[in-house]
Amino acid sequence: MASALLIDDDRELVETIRSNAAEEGLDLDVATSWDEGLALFQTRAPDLVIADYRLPGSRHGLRLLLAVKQLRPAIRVVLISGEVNPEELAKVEELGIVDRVMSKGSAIETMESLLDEIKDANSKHLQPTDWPQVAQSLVERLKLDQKKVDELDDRMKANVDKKDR
Amino acid sequence: MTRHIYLDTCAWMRFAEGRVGKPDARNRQGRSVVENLITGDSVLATCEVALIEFHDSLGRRVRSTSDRQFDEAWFEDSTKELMSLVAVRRLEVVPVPPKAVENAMALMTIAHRDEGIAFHAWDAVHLIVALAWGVALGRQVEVATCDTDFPRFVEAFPHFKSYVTILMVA
Repeated sequence: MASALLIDDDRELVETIRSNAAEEGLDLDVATSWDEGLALFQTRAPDLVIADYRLPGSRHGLRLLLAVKQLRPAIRVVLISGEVNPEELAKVEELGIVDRVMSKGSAIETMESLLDEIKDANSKHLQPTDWPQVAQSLVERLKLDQKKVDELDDRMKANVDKKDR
Repeated sequence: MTRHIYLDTCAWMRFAEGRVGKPDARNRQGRSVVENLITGDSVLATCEVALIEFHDSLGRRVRSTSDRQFDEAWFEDSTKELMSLVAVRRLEVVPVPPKAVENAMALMTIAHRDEGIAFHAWDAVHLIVALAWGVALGRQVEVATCDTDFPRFVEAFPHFKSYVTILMVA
Protein backbone atom coordinates (compact mmCIF):
# COMPACT_ATOMS: atom_id res chain seq x y z
CA MET A 1 0.00 0.00 0.00
CA ALA A 2 2.92 2.28 0.68
CA SER A 3 6.41 1.55 -0.53
CA ALA A 4 8.43 3.40 2.05
CA LEU A 5 8.07 5.13 5.38
CA LEU A 6 10.39 7.81 6.73
CA ILE A 7 10.20 8.61 10.45
CA ASP A 8 12.27 11.58 11.55
CA ASP A 9 11.51 14.64 13.65
CA ASP A 10 13.88 16.75 11.54
CA ARG A 11 11.09 18.47 9.64
CA GLU A 12 13.43 20.13 7.17
CA LEU A 13 14.99 16.80 6.17
CA VAL A 14 11.57 15.13 5.98
CA GLU A 15 10.15 17.90 3.82
CA THR A 16 13.16 17.90 1.50
CA ILE A 17 13.02 14.16 0.97
CA ARG A 18 9.27 14.17 0.60
CA SER A 19 9.33 16.83 -2.11
CA ASN A 20 12.22 15.18 -3.94
CA ALA A 21 10.48 11.80 -3.80
CA ALA A 22 7.26 13.38 -5.07
CA GLU A 23 9.14 15.01 -7.96
CA GLU A 24 10.41 11.61 -8.98
CA GLY A 25 6.95 10.08 -8.62
CA LEU A 26 8.00 7.92 -5.68
CA ASP A 27 5.58 6.67 -3.07
CA LEU A 28 6.63 7.74 0.44
CA ASP A 29 4.84 8.11 3.76
CA VAL A 30 6.38 10.40 6.34
CA ALA A 31 5.97 10.71 10.09
CA THR A 32 7.65 12.95 12.64
CA SER A 33 7.07 10.85 15.76
CA TRP A 34 7.34 7.19 16.63
CA ASP A 35 3.61 6.79 17.38
CA GLU A 36 2.64 8.35 14.07
CA GLY A 37 5.21 6.18 12.30
CA LEU A 38 4.03 3.00 13.98
CA ALA A 39 0.41 3.73 12.99
CA LEU A 40 1.50 4.21 9.38
CA PHE A 41 3.64 1.08 9.51
CA GLN A 42 0.67 -0.99 10.66
CA THR A 43 -1.92 0.48 8.32
CA ARG A 44 0.10 1.13 5.17
CA ALA A 45 2.41 -1.89 5.21
CA PRO A 46 5.56 -0.35 3.72
CA ASP A 47 8.50 -2.47 2.53
CA LEU A 48 11.08 0.00 3.81
CA VAL A 49 11.27 1.86 7.12
CA ILE A 50 13.82 4.63 7.52
CA ALA A 51 13.96 5.92 11.07
CA ASP A 52 16.03 8.28 13.13
CA TYR A 53 17.53 6.75 16.29
CA ARG A 54 15.90 9.23 18.61
CA LEU A 55 12.30 10.14 18.00
CA PRO A 56 9.63 11.90 20.00
CA GLY A 57 7.53 9.22 21.66
CA SER A 58 10.34 6.65 21.69
CA ARG A 59 12.78 5.83 24.44
CA HIS A 60 15.01 3.25 22.84
CA GLY A 61 15.50 3.41 19.10
CA LEU A 62 16.98 -0.04 18.59
CA ARG A 63 14.26 -1.85 20.50
CA LEU A 64 11.64 -0.07 18.42
CA LEU A 65 13.28 -1.01 15.15
CA LEU A 66 13.56 -4.56 16.40
CA ALA A 67 9.82 -4.48 17.09
CA VAL A 68 9.28 -3.57 13.43
CA LYS A 69 11.42 -6.54 12.39
CA GLN A 70 9.46 -8.81 14.71
CA LEU A 71 6.28 -7.96 12.85
CA ARG A 72 7.73 -8.06 9.34
CA PRO A 73 11.02 -10.00 9.41
CA ALA A 74 11.98 -9.25 5.80
CA ILE A 75 11.19 -5.55 5.87
CA ARG A 76 14.20 -3.36 5.09
CA VAL A 77 15.09 -1.10 7.99
CA VAL A 78 17.49 1.81 7.68
CA LEU A 79 18.66 3.61 10.82
CA ILE A 80 19.78 7.20 10.40
CA SER A 81 21.34 9.28 13.08
CA GLY A 82 23.26 12.48 13.51
CA GLU A 83 24.04 11.79 17.14
CA VAL A 84 25.10 8.19 17.56
CA ASN A 85 28.85 7.71 17.19
CA PRO A 86 30.17 5.70 14.22
CA GLU A 87 31.54 2.84 16.37
CA GLU A 88 28.13 2.23 17.87
CA LEU A 89 26.46 2.44 14.47
CA ALA A 90 28.93 -0.20 13.24
CA LYS A 91 27.95 -2.44 16.16
CA VAL A 92 24.27 -2.03 15.29
CA GLU A 93 25.02 -3.16 11.75
CA GLU A 94 27.14 -6.05 13.00
CA LEU A 95 24.37 -7.33 15.27
CA GLY A 96 22.01 -7.43 12.28
CA ILE A 97 19.25 -5.42 13.96
CA VAL A 98 18.86 -3.18 10.93
CA ASP A 99 19.84 -3.60 7.30
CA ARG A 100 21.74 -0.36 6.99
CA VAL A 101 22.94 2.39 9.26
CA MET A 102 23.57 5.89 8.04
CA SER A 103 25.23 8.73 9.82
CA LYS A 104 23.66 12.04 8.85
CA GLY A 105 26.67 13.47 7.10
CA SER A 106 26.28 16.09 4.44
CA ALA A 107 22.64 16.90 3.70
CA ILE A 108 23.02 16.20 -0.01
CA GLU A 109 24.69 12.82 0.49
CA THR A 110 22.10 11.78 3.07
CA MET A 111 19.26 12.80 0.81
CA GLU A 112 20.70 11.03 -2.21
CA SER A 113 21.27 7.82 -0.29
CA LEU A 114 17.78 7.90 1.15
CA LEU A 115 16.24 8.61 -2.25
CA ASP A 116 18.09 5.58 -3.65
CA GLU A 117 16.65 3.44 -0.87
CA ILE A 118 13.15 4.79 -1.55
CA LYS A 119 13.53 4.17 -5.30
CA ASP A 120 14.59 0.60 -4.64
CA ALA A 121 11.60 0.01 -2.33
CA ASN A 122 9.25 1.47 -4.94
CA SER A 123 10.62 -0.86 -7.59
CA LYS A 124 10.05 -3.92 -5.38
CA HIS A 125 6.74 -2.96 -3.83
CA LEU A 126 4.52 -4.87 -6.21
CA GLN A 127 6.58 -8.01 -6.08
CA PRO A 128 5.16 -10.96 -4.14
CA THR A 129 6.54 -11.98 -0.77
CA ASP A 130 9.93 -13.64 -1.00
CA TRP A 131 9.21 -16.39 1.54
CA PRO A 132 12.73 -17.85 1.70
CA GLN A 133 13.95 -14.34 2.54
CA VAL A 134 11.21 -13.89 5.16
CA ALA A 135 12.11 -17.25 6.70
CA GLN A 136 15.84 -16.46 6.69
CA SER A 137 15.23 -13.05 8.29
CA LEU A 138 13.00 -14.64 10.91
CA VAL A 139 15.63 -17.25 11.79
CA GLU A 140 18.32 -14.56 12.03
CA ARG A 141 16.13 -12.38 14.21
CA LEU A 142 15.41 -15.31 16.54
CA LYS A 143 19.16 -15.89 16.87
CA LEU A 144 19.69 -12.30 18.04
CA ASP A 145 20.99 -11.95 21.55
CA GLN A 146 18.35 -9.70 23.10
CA LYS A 147 20.63 -8.89 26.02
CA LYS A 148 23.30 -7.55 23.67
CA VAL A 149 20.71 -5.45 21.85
CA ASP A 150 19.40 -4.00 25.11
CA GLU A 151 22.91 -3.22 26.36
CA LEU A 152 23.87 -1.51 23.12
CA ASP A 153 20.60 0.41 23.04
CA ASP A 154 21.09 1.60 26.63
CA ARG A 155 24.66 2.64 25.90
CA MET A 156 23.69 4.50 22.73
CA LYS A 157 20.88 6.28 24.50
CA ALA A 158 23.12 7.27 27.41
CA ASN A 159 25.72 8.70 25.00
CA VAL A 160 23.10 10.62 23.05
CA ASP A 161 21.63 12.00 26.29
CA LYS A 162 25.14 12.97 27.46
CA LYS A 163 25.70 14.96 24.26
CA ASP A 164 22.45 16.83 24.93
CA ARG A 165 23.55 17.97 28.36
CA MET B 1 -21.07 11.27 -0.89
CA THR B 2 -21.16 7.75 -2.31
CA ARG B 3 -20.27 5.06 0.19
CA HIS B 4 -17.66 2.46 -0.69
CA ILE B 5 -18.34 -0.83 1.03
CA TYR B 6 -16.22 -3.99 1.12
CA LEU B 7 -18.20 -7.13 2.04
CA ASP B 8 -16.38 -10.05 3.64
CA THR B 9 -17.34 -13.71 3.49
CA CYS B 10 -19.65 -13.83 6.49
CA ALA B 11 -21.69 -10.93 5.10
CA TRP B 12 -22.27 -13.00 1.97
CA MET B 13 -23.08 -16.09 4.03
CA ARG B 14 -25.76 -14.21 5.98
CA PHE B 15 -27.11 -13.07 2.63
CA ALA B 16 -27.29 -16.69 1.42
CA GLU B 17 -28.55 -18.23 4.66
CA GLY B 18 -31.21 -15.59 5.09
CA ARG B 19 -32.86 -16.46 1.79
CA VAL B 20 -34.39 -19.90 2.47
CA GLY B 21 -36.78 -21.59 4.84
CA LYS B 22 -37.23 -19.94 8.18
CA PRO B 23 -34.03 -18.02 8.71
CA ASP B 24 -33.09 -17.10 12.24
CA ALA B 25 -33.13 -13.44 13.25
CA ARG B 26 -29.42 -12.95 12.55
CA ASN B 27 -29.59 -14.36 9.04
CA ARG B 28 -32.81 -12.46 8.32
CA GLN B 29 -31.22 -9.21 9.41
CA GLY B 30 -28.00 -9.95 7.53
CA ARG B 31 -29.93 -10.72 4.37
CA SER B 32 -31.91 -7.52 4.68
CA VAL B 33 -28.84 -5.32 5.24
CA VAL B 34 -26.94 -6.80 2.29
CA GLU B 35 -30.04 -6.58 0.05
CA ASN B 36 -30.36 -2.90 0.91
CA LEU B 37 -26.71 -2.36 0.04
CA ILE B 38 -27.18 -4.08 -3.31
CA THR B 39 -30.26 -2.06 -4.23
CA GLY B 40 -28.70 1.16 -2.95
CA ASP B 41 -26.18 3.36 -4.70
CA SER B 42 -23.04 2.47 -2.74
CA VAL B 43 -20.02 1.09 -4.54
CA LEU B 44 -19.67 -2.54 -3.43
CA ALA B 45 -16.58 -4.72 -3.47
CA THR B 46 -15.34 -8.07 -2.31
CA CYS B 47 -12.25 -10.12 -3.19
CA GLU B 48 -11.40 -13.56 -4.51
CA VAL B 49 -10.69 -14.81 -1.00
CA ALA B 50 -14.33 -14.08 -0.16
CA LEU B 51 -15.43 -15.95 -3.28
CA ILE B 52 -13.51 -19.11 -2.39
CA GLU B 53 -14.50 -18.92 1.30
CA PHE B 54 -18.14 -18.45 0.28
CA HIS B 55 -17.91 -21.46 -2.03
CA ASP B 56 -16.38 -23.51 0.79
CA SER B 57 -18.94 -22.38 3.38
CA LEU B 58 -21.88 -23.17 1.11
CA GLY B 59 -20.54 -26.71 0.64
CA ARG B 60 -20.09 -27.14 4.37
CA ARG B 61 -23.69 -26.07 5.00
CA VAL B 62 -24.94 -28.56 2.42
CA ARG B 63 -22.90 -31.37 4.00
CA SER B 64 -24.14 -30.58 7.49
CA THR B 65 -26.97 -32.92 8.43
CA SER B 66 -28.51 -30.58 10.97
CA ASP B 67 -30.25 -28.25 8.55
CA ARG B 68 -31.93 -29.75 5.50
CA GLN B 69 -32.96 -26.42 4.00
CA PHE B 70 -29.38 -25.93 2.85
CA ASP B 71 -29.48 -28.36 -0.06
CA GLU B 72 -27.86 -28.53 -3.50
CA ALA B 73 -30.50 -26.22 -4.97
CA TRP B 74 -29.68 -23.66 -2.27
CA PHE B 75 -25.97 -24.08 -3.06
CA GLU B 76 -26.56 -23.36 -6.75
CA ASP B 77 -29.01 -20.50 -6.21
CA SER B 78 -26.70 -18.85 -3.70
CA THR B 79 -23.73 -19.17 -6.06
CA LYS B 80 -25.80 -17.78 -8.91
CA GLU B 81 -27.03 -14.87 -6.80
CA LEU B 82 -23.52 -13.75 -5.82
CA MET B 83 -21.90 -14.39 -9.18
CA SER B 84 -24.68 -12.52 -11.00
CA LEU B 85 -23.73 -9.41 -9.04
CA VAL B 86 -20.14 -9.82 -10.22
CA ALA B 87 -21.24 -10.55 -13.80
CA VAL B 88 -23.31 -7.37 -14.09
CA ARG B 89 -20.53 -5.43 -12.35
CA ARG B 90 -22.70 -4.49 -9.40
CA LEU B 91 -20.03 -6.08 -7.23
CA GLU B 92 -16.38 -5.38 -7.92
CA VAL B 93 -13.86 -8.13 -7.14
CA VAL B 94 -10.87 -6.11 -5.97
CA PRO B 95 -7.39 -7.65 -6.12
CA VAL B 96 -5.58 -9.08 -3.16
CA PRO B 97 -2.48 -6.86 -2.94
CA PRO B 98 1.04 -8.27 -3.11
CA LYS B 99 2.42 -9.41 0.26
CA ALA B 100 -1.12 -9.58 1.72
CA VAL B 101 -0.41 -12.76 3.66
CA GLU B 102 2.87 -11.42 5.04
CA ASN B 103 1.15 -8.20 6.13
CA ALA B 104 -1.85 -10.08 7.52
CA MET B 105 0.51 -12.05 9.75
CA ALA B 106 1.76 -8.75 11.18
CA LEU B 107 -1.81 -7.67 12.01
CA MET B 108 -2.51 -11.03 13.66
CA THR B 109 0.66 -10.61 15.71
CA ILE B 110 -0.20 -7.15 17.05
CA ALA B 111 -3.73 -8.36 17.87
CA HIS B 112 -2.62 -11.20 20.11
CA ARG B 113 0.69 -9.77 21.32
CA ASP B 114 -0.36 -6.21 22.12
CA GLU B 115 -4.04 -6.68 22.98
CA GLY B 116 -4.55 -10.39 23.62
CA ILE B 117 -7.39 -10.53 21.10
CA ALA B 118 -8.09 -12.87 18.22
CA PHE B 119 -7.79 -11.72 14.67
CA HIS B 120 -7.92 -14.72 12.39
CA ALA B 121 -6.01 -15.33 9.18
CA TRP B 122 -8.62 -14.61 6.56
CA ASP B 123 -10.11 -11.74 8.56
CA ALA B 124 -6.68 -10.11 8.51
CA VAL B 125 -6.43 -10.69 4.76
CA HIS B 126 -9.87 -9.12 4.24
CA LEU B 127 -8.76 -6.08 6.22
CA ILE B 128 -5.57 -5.79 4.16
CA VAL B 129 -7.61 -5.96 0.94
CA ALA B 130 -10.07 -3.33 2.21
CA LEU B 131 -7.21 -1.06 3.30
CA ALA B 132 -5.54 -1.39 -0.11
CA TRP B 133 -8.83 -0.67 -1.87
CA GLY B 134 -9.30 2.47 0.23
CA VAL B 135 -5.74 3.61 -0.41
CA ALA B 136 -6.18 3.06 -4.17
CA LEU B 137 -9.41 5.10 -4.06
CA GLY B 138 -7.87 7.73 -1.80
CA ARG B 139 -10.74 7.49 0.64
CA GLN B 140 -12.08 5.71 3.68
CA VAL B 141 -14.07 2.53 3.01
CA GLU B 142 -16.53 0.52 5.08
CA VAL B 143 -16.06 -3.16 5.84
CA ALA B 144 -19.41 -4.97 6.00
CA THR B 145 -19.12 -8.04 8.19
CA CYS B 146 -20.88 -9.99 10.91
CA ASP B 147 -17.63 -10.96 12.60
CA THR B 148 -17.15 -9.16 15.92
CA ASP B 149 -13.36 -9.59 15.67
CA PHE B 150 -13.30 -6.69 13.18
CA PRO B 151 -14.78 -3.97 15.43
CA ARG B 152 -12.74 -5.33 18.34
CA PHE B 153 -9.54 -5.04 16.31
CA VAL B 154 -10.31 -1.53 15.06
CA GLU B 155 -11.23 -0.37 18.56
CA ALA B 156 -7.95 -1.78 19.88
CA PHE B 157 -5.95 -0.09 17.10
CA PRO B 158 -7.91 3.10 16.42
CA HIS B 159 -5.45 4.42 13.83
CA PHE B 160 -7.11 1.97 11.40
CA LYS B 161 -10.25 4.10 11.64
CA SER B 162 -8.60 6.66 9.37
CA TYR B 163 -8.88 4.08 6.61
CA VAL B 164 -11.83 1.81 7.42
CA THR B 165 -15.03 1.82 9.41
CA ILE B 166 -16.89 -1.34 10.31
CA LEU B 167 -20.48 -1.95 9.29
CA MET B 168 -21.99 -4.86 11.21
CA VAL B 169 -24.58 -6.53 9.00
CA ALA B 170 -25.90 -8.84 11.73
